[in-house]
Amino acid sequence: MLKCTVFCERMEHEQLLINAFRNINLTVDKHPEFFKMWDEVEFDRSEFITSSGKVERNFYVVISGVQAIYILTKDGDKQVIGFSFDGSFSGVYDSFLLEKPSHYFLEALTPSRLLRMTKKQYDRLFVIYPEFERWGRLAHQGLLLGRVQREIELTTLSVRERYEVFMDRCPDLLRTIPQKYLASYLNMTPETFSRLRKGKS
Amino acid sequence: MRVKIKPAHQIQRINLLQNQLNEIREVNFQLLIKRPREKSWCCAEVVKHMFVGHSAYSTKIDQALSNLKISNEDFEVLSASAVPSFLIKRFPPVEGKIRFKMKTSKQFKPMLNLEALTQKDVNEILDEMNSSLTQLMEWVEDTRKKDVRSIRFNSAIGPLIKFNASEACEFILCHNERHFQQVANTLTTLKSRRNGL
Repeated sequence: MLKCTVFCERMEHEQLLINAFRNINLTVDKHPEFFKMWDEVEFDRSEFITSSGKVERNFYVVISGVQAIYILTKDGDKQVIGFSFDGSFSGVYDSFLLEKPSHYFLEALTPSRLLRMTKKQYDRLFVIYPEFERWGRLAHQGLLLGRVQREIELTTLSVRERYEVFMDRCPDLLRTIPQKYLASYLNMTPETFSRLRKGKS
Repeated sequence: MRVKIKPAHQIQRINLLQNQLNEIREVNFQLLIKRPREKSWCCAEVVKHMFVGHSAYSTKIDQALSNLKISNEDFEVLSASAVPSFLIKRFPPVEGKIRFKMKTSKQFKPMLNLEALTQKDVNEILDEMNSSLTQLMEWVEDTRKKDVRSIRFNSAIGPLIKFNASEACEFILCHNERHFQQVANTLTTLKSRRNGL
């Protein structure tokens, strides 16, 4: 039974990683060290994965759960920057790359299981597998284009338009988290978010 | 105006103090035991004072938190009561300036013999400060999951002021922020004097 659980978990991790890094063709045979680099960690609901002021030591791929990345305003209120969820990458990337204290919090909004690797392992990937340069280029392009798109939406769209655009592309998983996080991400009050959700003007 | 206590904000501020404490570890030992003025404390004395202040609450906060059950609710904001708010607001420095200077009562004085103090002693003082910040972090993490409003205890100042666990944590944190600022000011004074400024 134990053997089966371990085997199933390994298969689950391999499939998740192959899918997450789908812009390069990963195989267990060609990239054995890559698959051995990850270990699984669990976080309870509301647990901080990384807190502001600490250095982010890990790069994550989410097995399950929803996490929010946010910064605190001067008064200590949360301003949500983004989310991660099943199958996506997670972590406080700038802190991880620069090895400097994070400006952000990364919080598990639901019970979460993640795969993680350290900075040393991450750097080694690019040394031992040249194809990861391609992954890095595409991943950073994706990140940059995503940030630009968000900037455009925040500065040019009305509150209602922001809500509609977001809900159109919002994964079902995000609909299960407290509304205040979605409202903060869209730069509106929870009351406005709630009103829009109920379809009132 | 009552103070709004936000645990995530507290955690961010504790991390900042831990980073500052790590920077203090890099400072030359002689600077840490040198008083900027005859009647002012040196950095080692300031840090010891913070630890003494923290220790006065250890048992009280531990007991209060251990008597509370974990709730399903999230406690992201807690409004401090009127009197604790009044006290808490006076402590943190504003734009690098320490306000409302006050006299320290005997029980909170650091009582160090500076002439006999070694590098090892100072390292121990910094270590115990680091442990106290770690403990403060654990308390704050606990207050995120427990409704602390039902248990109040006497502050270290006396029974006139009573705190719940969140208020006590905020008080300790503000007290620490005040004295970390004092350490920074002391080091600036000593270094500028050394550089002949």
